[in-house]
Amino acid sequence: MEGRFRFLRLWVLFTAIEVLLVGKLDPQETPVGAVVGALAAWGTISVLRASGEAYRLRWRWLAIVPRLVAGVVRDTLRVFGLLLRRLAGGPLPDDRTVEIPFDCGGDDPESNARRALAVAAVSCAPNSIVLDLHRARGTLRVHYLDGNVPKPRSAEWPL
Amino acid sequence: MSAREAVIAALLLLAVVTVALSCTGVLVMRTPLQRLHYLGPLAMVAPVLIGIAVALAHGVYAGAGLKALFIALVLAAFAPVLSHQTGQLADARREP
Amino acid sequence: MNVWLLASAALLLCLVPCTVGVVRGTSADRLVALAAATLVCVLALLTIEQGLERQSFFDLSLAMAVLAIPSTLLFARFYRRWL
Repeated sequence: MEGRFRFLRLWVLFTAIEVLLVGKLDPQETPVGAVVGALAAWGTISVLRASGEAYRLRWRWLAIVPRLVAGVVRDTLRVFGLLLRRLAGGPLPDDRTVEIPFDCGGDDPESNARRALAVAAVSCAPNSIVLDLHRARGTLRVHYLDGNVPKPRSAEWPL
Repeated sequence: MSAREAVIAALLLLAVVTVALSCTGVLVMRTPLQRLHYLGPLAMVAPVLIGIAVALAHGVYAGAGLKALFIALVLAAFAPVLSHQTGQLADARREP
Repeated sequence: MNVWLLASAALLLCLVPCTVGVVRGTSADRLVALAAATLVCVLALLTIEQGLERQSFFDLSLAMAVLAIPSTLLFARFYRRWL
């Protein structure tokens, strides 16, 4: 039942995206969009099943979006500053790879989703790229272009 | 030139400067990992600026504005994944 | 000539450093430059569509945006695993 409900949700989402992008309900295009949406929903569920892992997102995680946006803007200015310094004859950036503490959580769907989103969120900001996640050590290996590594605010979301 | 056109021009100028600096960074930096950091602004900042400019020109509810913002969303959403995966490749191939 | 076409011209000029990056350096360097070139092309298509007022270019830029990053991802994974 849960599987059918998930299929229905994805199908509605993909079909809605198609209708929004086309901009109208068309007697010829919309049914084709619905069929393709169904295929896309089936493909998504198949890939998730094949991965062997379940993911559960939480609405409260949207609270990190403002921090993420601020980080992208701040780090964009930072990396461009490093570039302009280099173009003006200065040295190359003092980049380094650092292990930062990260709360990896368990094997439940919520922790799986949070780990994936945290890796993406840290890699979002131009100054940092996640190279590896060490669950045993509870760390993320991150490459920073600017050697002045900022201290992450929390181990759950190390932005 | 109306105020809206001026804002669109300013957004486009900002986007072009972002792209130019990002491409220069990709060329000028020494290692692949260093270059990779400049894909971030290219994939996340510039498309959003252009998407907003298109949405201002056509309106968000029109097809063009919505498509441009959707493209910006797709690029911004996948850019960190691209950085992470390519970073792992660059790290694995790094000279000791 | 309008502001959109000026932006397109500037974006197409930005392909020059990307092209230089693609022909030099290690494979990882070239992959990064290729990813940058692809992203610049998507943005150039967006602005060209606005400048020429051709709706069909939008679908092209949308398709390219959706396909560009997964294709680079696939290549990176393939290169890391098999080459």
